[in-house]
Amino acid sequence: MLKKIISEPLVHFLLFSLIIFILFNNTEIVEENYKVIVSEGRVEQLKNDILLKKQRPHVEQELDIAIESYALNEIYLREARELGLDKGDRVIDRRLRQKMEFLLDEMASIQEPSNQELKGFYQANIDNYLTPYIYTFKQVFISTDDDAVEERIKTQQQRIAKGLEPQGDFSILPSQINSKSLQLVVKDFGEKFSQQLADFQTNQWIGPIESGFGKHFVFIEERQSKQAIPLPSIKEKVTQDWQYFQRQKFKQAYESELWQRYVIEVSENINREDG
Amino acid sequence: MNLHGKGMKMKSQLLVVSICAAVSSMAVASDTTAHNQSKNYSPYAQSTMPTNVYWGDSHLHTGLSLDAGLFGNTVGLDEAYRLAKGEQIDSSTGIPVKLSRPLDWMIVTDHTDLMGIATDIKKGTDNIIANPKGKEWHEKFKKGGKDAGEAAFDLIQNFAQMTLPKQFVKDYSPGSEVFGGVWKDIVEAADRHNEPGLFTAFIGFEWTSVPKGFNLHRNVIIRDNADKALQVEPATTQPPIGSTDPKTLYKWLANYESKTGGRAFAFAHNGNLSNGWMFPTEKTYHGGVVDKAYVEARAKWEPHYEITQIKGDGETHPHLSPDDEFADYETWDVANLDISELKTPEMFKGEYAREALKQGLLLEKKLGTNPYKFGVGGATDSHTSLATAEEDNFFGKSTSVEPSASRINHPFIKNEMGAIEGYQLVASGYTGIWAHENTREALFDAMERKETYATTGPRMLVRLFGGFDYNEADLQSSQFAKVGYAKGVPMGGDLKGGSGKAPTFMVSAMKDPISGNLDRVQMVKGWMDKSGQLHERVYDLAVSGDRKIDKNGRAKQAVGNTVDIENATWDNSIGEAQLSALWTDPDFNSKESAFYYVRVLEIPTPRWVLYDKVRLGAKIPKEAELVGQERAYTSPIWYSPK
Repeated sequence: MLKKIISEPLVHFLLFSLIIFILFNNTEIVEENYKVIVSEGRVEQLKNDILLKKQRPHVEQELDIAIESYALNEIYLREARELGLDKGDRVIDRRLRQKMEFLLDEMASIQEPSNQELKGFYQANIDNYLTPYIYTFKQVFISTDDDAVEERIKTQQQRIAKGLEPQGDFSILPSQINSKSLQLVVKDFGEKFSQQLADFQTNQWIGPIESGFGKHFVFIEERQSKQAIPLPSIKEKVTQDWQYFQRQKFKQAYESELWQRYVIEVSENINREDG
Repeated sequence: MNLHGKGMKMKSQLLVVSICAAVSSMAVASDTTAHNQSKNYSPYAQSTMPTNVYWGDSHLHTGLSLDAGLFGNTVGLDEAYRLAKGEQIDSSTGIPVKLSRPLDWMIVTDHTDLMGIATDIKKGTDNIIANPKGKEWHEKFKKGGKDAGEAAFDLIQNFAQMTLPKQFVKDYSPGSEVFGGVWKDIVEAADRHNEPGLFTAFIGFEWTSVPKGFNLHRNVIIRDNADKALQVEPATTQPPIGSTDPKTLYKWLANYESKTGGRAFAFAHNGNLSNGWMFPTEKTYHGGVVDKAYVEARAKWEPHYEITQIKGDGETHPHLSPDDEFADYETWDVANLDISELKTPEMFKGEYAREALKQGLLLEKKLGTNPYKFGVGGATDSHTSLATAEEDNFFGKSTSVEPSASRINHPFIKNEMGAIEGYQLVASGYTGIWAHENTREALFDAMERKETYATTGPRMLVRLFGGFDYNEADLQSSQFAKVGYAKGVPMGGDLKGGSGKAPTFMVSAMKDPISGNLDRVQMVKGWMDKSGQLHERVYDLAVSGDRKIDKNGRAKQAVGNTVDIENATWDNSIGEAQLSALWTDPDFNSKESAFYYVRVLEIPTPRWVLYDKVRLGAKIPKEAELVGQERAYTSPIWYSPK
């Protein structure tokens, strides 16, 4: 039966046509696939490259070589992609992720807020737009590297009680601080010392207060409390913050859009059973 | 507190501290005229005396740097600056991160190459508008909000599917001319975040010269604002336009200054990975000769050196300083940057800062100019956008080694010739700049006059003055700094006069309020004798506790160690908060040129690997150091017999 079919002329014909069809079709595909187009713009760019490299216009042969090597590179890339070499390559994957991030970043930062939006944002985040505490104070340092710290402190407390100024040890820390924001006080004296200043009364010697260096007597002459900075004078900063916020939001929105489009399937690993 | 001066030991006493005249606020009445006394009453008016230390990172990469991006860094410029200014952000691996304290300044030093299509759509350039799709996107972006989001999605889909208009593909294919918007981004971000008086964001970049794996990297710092910086494109190293020869960078700098009227200089780092080529004394890597032209250009364009950072500490090496028991600190001495050529001992001479400072004296004698007369600073060189230099808050060299239990197992580099292991990364460093205000101009000028010092992360306060007339009273004076400037020079300066007298130095160091106490303050002296031989010597100036400095100027007894290896904690029961000294060089010879710089050592504290072990459960290889003594290096003061 099989023999009979194989020897049938009609079958031969059909087979023959099929082969021709496949071949013909493939040739078409093949020809499209194996074509490297070097566009006018690309040729211009190659000419420019030569100009930059050699500091003179190209000669024909150079351009031919450049086109050829450009084309060869394209062919290699195509072959590599054909082999799937671009898949699962961490360097390529990261570069792609990076490009996406760059695109998103650029796109998100284009907007300018309306006055309304800016005002709303400013009010909602008013904590970020307050003047800092500003201090003017004197400071006397008591080194704890030396012995008899308690005694020396007591001596100074007695001086204060008598209405005298306390006396301290040498240090390269400033002893008079004029109109410095809390942030700058923290820079000089550390967090521990600076936070305590908010609680004390002004115009009297207080202490000893502890810092990372040792102990201090402090005389706060002035403490300006926090006030809202008027929007017009920090409009640029608020705008930047608004844009920063929008960008984060934009990215989140984009990601949530992606999450909606994709389904994440986690293969349950057998290992989990023993965990 | 022990004070050691001229071999004397003094116990400090309580001193009457004059209240109304503070150290930090005294003025040098520089160009005020004396004839109107009342006009000169206020000591603060017109003062440019450096009264503050401003802390910063001079070397940071964001995701814009190609290598950083490839390692997965997706944290951009704005986030990098916000972190430096004290805000909390998320790292590329999603870990919330905040610095212990804000920095005062930063230089983002990225490489450049990127795409520019989004910027052009935003602007609506001619080629974009000419295309209907481009026009549509532009208009939607202009509308903002939801429309912009849609356009973004559409654009990215088209980009991903390779269905962008053909013309766009042509216009924005990877080639320098179209991918070149990055410099603008970097410059504009710096200007956006520069807040004179509060935070200085320098415009800069890294010139990444690394021929055959020999690290010749330089960072470039620009004093000016965007208007000048945008008149140029940053220097590159890839031919045909760029070159790896530092001479071409000097040319770029000269061109920048003449073209824009602005100011800029370069500073190198990681001589330790140059296999001897960082500080040449005879021939340069690029086939040049160390001649008059070379030393003059190097001195002019490189007044600063990044002495310590993530890829190893560069002060000195035990091979060069065998008598210095603290020399073997975080040294990387396997090979060059890509381990393509192993290290041999004769290479060290061209790699480390202390030796370069010495060789500079010799070259000055030979050629008339000291090419290696540089100030010093520390930087992170992080590629994570995160300027983290503290051991307990260390986000690693690149995104791939942000905190995780396994990061320690990733070698920095490894091949058949050798390896630089993951645990060798250094959580380092920052630069302290003495200046009178926090502005681009004041900080740049201070770096140029070398009034800077490097630390491996902690922010200790270090003052150094050199002169011929200081006495014990000056050291204890409430006007310490004013006297320091009036009777001598600060770190980075040149000793003048003295008529044969030995110079005296005033040194005072105060611990970082949140870091370890101080172990000791040392003077490192380098000099050249009559026959042209180079020497170095380390003196202890002040040490904590009851330890004694012997007649050779050393206290060999170690400070001790309080680190609890199980819990990664330590305490300040040893060491001292403040160490000061007045020191006169006991071995001075007025005919010998010399330099003097101060090294301040903290008590031992945990290295980052120990925190990884305790907090993340990391398995630490037994070769890894768990404890280290963090330190500061000041810029030198030089003496020349001329």
